[in-house]
Amino acid sequence: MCLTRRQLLARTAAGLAALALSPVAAGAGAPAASDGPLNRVIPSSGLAVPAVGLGTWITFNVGRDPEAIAGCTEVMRAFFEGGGRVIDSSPMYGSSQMVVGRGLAALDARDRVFSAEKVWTSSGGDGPEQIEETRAFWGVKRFDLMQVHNLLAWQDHLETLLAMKAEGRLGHVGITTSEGRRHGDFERVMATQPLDSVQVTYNPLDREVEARILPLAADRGQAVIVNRPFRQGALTRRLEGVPLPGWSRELGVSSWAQALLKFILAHPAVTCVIPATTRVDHVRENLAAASGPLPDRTLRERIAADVEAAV
Amino acid sequence: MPWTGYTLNDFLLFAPETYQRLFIRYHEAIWPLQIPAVIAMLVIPWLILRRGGVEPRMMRIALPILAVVWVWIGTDFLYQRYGEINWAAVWPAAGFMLQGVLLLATAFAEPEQPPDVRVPPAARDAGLLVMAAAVILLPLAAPLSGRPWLSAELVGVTPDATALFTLGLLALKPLRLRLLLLPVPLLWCLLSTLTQIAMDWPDAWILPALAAAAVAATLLPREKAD
Repeated sequence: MCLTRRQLLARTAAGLAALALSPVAAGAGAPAASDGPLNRVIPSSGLAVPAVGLGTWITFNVGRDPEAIAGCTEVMRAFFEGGGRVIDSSPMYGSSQMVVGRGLAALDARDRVFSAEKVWTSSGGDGPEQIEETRAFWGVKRFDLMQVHNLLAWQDHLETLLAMKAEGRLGHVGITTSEGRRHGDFERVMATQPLDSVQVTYNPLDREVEARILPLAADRGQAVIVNRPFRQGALTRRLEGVPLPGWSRELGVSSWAQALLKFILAHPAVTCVIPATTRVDHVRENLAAASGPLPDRTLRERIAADVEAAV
Repeated sequence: MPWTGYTLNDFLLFAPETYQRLFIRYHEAIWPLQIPAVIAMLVIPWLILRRGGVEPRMMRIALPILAVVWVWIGTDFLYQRYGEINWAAVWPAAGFMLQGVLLLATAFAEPEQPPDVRVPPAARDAGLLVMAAAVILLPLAAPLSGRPWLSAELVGVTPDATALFTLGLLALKPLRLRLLLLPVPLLWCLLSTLTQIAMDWPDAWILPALAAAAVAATLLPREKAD
């Protein structure tokens, strides 16, 4: 699937308008997938990626424990079998990068993965070396996306990443933040730099990005990756035992986790959400959230209100 | 980097299960070293009780034993194993190695003759109680809190129990030199407590409570000997 940047911007803008004005925005600007997991397009390149990815924060940091590494590999196996592609990690995540690399090698999946990584060092000069170390961990030829983690030394790192992209050594360039940190700075970088993607925290309780960042990403043709959809599991734990409301049948969801993911994916600016998990059944459940109907604007508000009331 | 807006959980890089597995794998890997390590540590309170108090000569046996243990835990457990899941582990690992050096240095800095100061009975009793807790209570904390037996803290082998045991011993020392040995175990207890709180351990209060008791006893003014 390949669209022009103009078409993509028009489609995203239409989606945002629909979300803002229409009580029904089925698929919220991106048609709901009834024949498999939903794909979303990275505006700058036209590359389509599955809308549910895999995060590795905490869950893949298991050191050299063979049993735990095997468990992570099984999670990755289920992820790829279910049509997933985007895996996101960072040098900040301890041994996660090494564990991802082991999994990719064991599953012979280096060509299947959409590799999303980060550079995380306060020294711009150390960036290239860290990126090369990271690449060696993954065992991939090049990264599909390299992001500046939490805006750390972003000026220097963006210079490096944009040069690497120009040389064909990187697919896309982005920046990340989490839990609402430094949104002011984040917006300024979004508005002034030629970014392909941004990564932010977004879920029914953390909606600050809806006001400015998501519309700005749509305006600027930047893909949006969503981290911490479950607040690192705290949200799903709090919702354990809370019965799913009636709208769950409407959406075809069987768990709160799926409802949270559908809430996020229904925003037209969102490209991909990256829940992290150590469980194969949860990976399958998360991927299933990218199939079937997505909530319209009214239903999204109901989901948010129900989540807020339940926690 | 601005640190506003961060919570304790943001600094926890691993799952509680991963932390438990770290201890389980460590205990399995070093078995049966636990037996001589614990026996070596038990020599210290035995010497104290046998002689009725802390003597400089006794410290020349006790402190080198502790020094070896601190360096071992710093290199093998913290640097090589904990470092796999926590890139910041290099700092406590360096601290443990430094503590080993300090223990060894102070062992031979003690005067030949007993000093003309005496440890107050309250400090002595508190120190012994903390040492006993490090040997007996801390290993039981894991199974009593629903964690696997094999993930237990063990004096002479794992950091919490060893740091606490060392703090208990410092409370029994008469000379000011003891204050030099206080910061590293105290900082480790603080760091470990924060980690346990972030992991929602129900027994996270045990280590800081005992460490505080030991520090208070260590800071009690020494008395002039009759």
